[in-house]
Amino acid sequence: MAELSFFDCHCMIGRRTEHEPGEIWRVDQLLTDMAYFGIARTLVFHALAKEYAPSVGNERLLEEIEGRESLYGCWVALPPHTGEMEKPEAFVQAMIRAGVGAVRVFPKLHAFSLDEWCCGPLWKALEARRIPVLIDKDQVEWPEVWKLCKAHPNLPVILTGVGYREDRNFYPLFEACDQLYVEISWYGVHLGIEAICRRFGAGRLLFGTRMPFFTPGTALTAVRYAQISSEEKRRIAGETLRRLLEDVIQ
Amino acid sequence: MSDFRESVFLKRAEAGETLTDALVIDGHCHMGPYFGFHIPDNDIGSMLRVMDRVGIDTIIASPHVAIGPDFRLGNDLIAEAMQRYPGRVLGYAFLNPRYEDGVLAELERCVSLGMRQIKLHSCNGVPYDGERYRPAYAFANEQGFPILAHTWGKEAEVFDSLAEEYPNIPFILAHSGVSDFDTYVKLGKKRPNIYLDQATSHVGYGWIERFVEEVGAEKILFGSDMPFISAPQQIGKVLYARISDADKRKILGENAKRIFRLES
Repeated sequence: MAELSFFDCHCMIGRRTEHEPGEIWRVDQLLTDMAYFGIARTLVFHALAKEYAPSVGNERLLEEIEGRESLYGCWVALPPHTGEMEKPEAFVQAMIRAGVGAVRVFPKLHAFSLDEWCCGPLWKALEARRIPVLIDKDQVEWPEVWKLCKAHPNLPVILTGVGYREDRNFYPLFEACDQLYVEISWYGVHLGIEAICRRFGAGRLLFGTRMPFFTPGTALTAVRYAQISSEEKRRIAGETLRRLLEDVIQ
Repeated sequence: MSDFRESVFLKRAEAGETLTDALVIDGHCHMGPYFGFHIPDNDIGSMLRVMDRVGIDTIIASPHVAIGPDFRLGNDLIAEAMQRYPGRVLGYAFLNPRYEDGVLAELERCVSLGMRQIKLHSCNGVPYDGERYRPAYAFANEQGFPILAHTWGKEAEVFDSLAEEYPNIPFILAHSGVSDFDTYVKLGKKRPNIYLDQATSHVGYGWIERFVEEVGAEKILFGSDMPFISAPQQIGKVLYARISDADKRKILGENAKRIFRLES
């Protein structure tokens, strides 16, 4: 089999509230795991940005991944109205300056709406630069995904943590929204990767591990043993994510 | 970097190669469609293609319909698959105590169809330690039939007393670790006839390593839940685990061969 270069789109570092025994949280531990599991690059956000304050966690992330060429930053964003974050255009410019190519939001955990009246300016600024937005499935309802994609057709939306019981909802979204992507760490559908490649193309799936919560081994074998072509595997493993990050308008 | 990186199984997985270095028995499978979500290809043919691709020698299965509305239809379907694919497909006798003919009579019927193991699920609302299951437990205890039981966290604790009461039944706790991890560790350590199935949609970081360290590899069984969940995905937690290859062999098949008393 041709070598696959895995680029993980779903990973968090940093101390978190409910740390489990043996769970990794430091950058050096992540790098050790990436070497062990054969993961070339990782798009990572910081637990402080999720569980404390995005502005603090985003800064900490930059400090911790500085000089680590295999780690790519992903910032966590809030809607702009309360002043907890910079205005969207300034936020996006700061991202670009810092070399951060993607944004993650936690609308349920951080208690805000994805609708236009709340996040519209943020989406508009991200869409203008084609900056991918990552959202955990447990943070969003399907109708919200539909509305976001339809309102911002040039905004790449990556749903992470999509489970194995969701085809009936995201198949129609895949049909209707070309900019929607699904990460596979929890997508344990029997022959599901094969079915999506046939119907929608391999370019809609992204490799992700959900570290530190999940073991990376399962997402790796899901791709390695999938009954699809080597080219399709390469796209899922990392090419599509790499392209999405390259497509960000600087 | 530890020596675990040199694992034969990890190398196979990295190359996407079919596993030829060990007996692989998937002790937790189903078959057919499921009402709750879409499974693109769910028949026995699709499962055999996956088995061939990954290198799974044998599966032990109970169709979804047996666990759901019609145990008899499900048991007939798996009996048919057993007959069609001898040695590759083994069946669980699924019992539903909500029917008068759903326990001992069905178990005896399934035995006549060649089944030597039992699958139970709590979705019918009947408690595992209730009287209705007792005739089947007595039969299984006499025959040494393994029982695979769906469990979810604290629910598993009922098997503490059952394992003591029926010492000849190997009780396999499905989905071990998915909730209340320590409950499974406690039961696995305490009872010699309790085993831990590893079919879990949540694939927790380091779970296999923790179970091996705390309970021992000889008590851990590979199970995927196929086609409820993807077997190629599920097997990754074993192939990439930071444990010895000897332990991986036990988990992948040697333990199941012993517990299910399978021929070479």
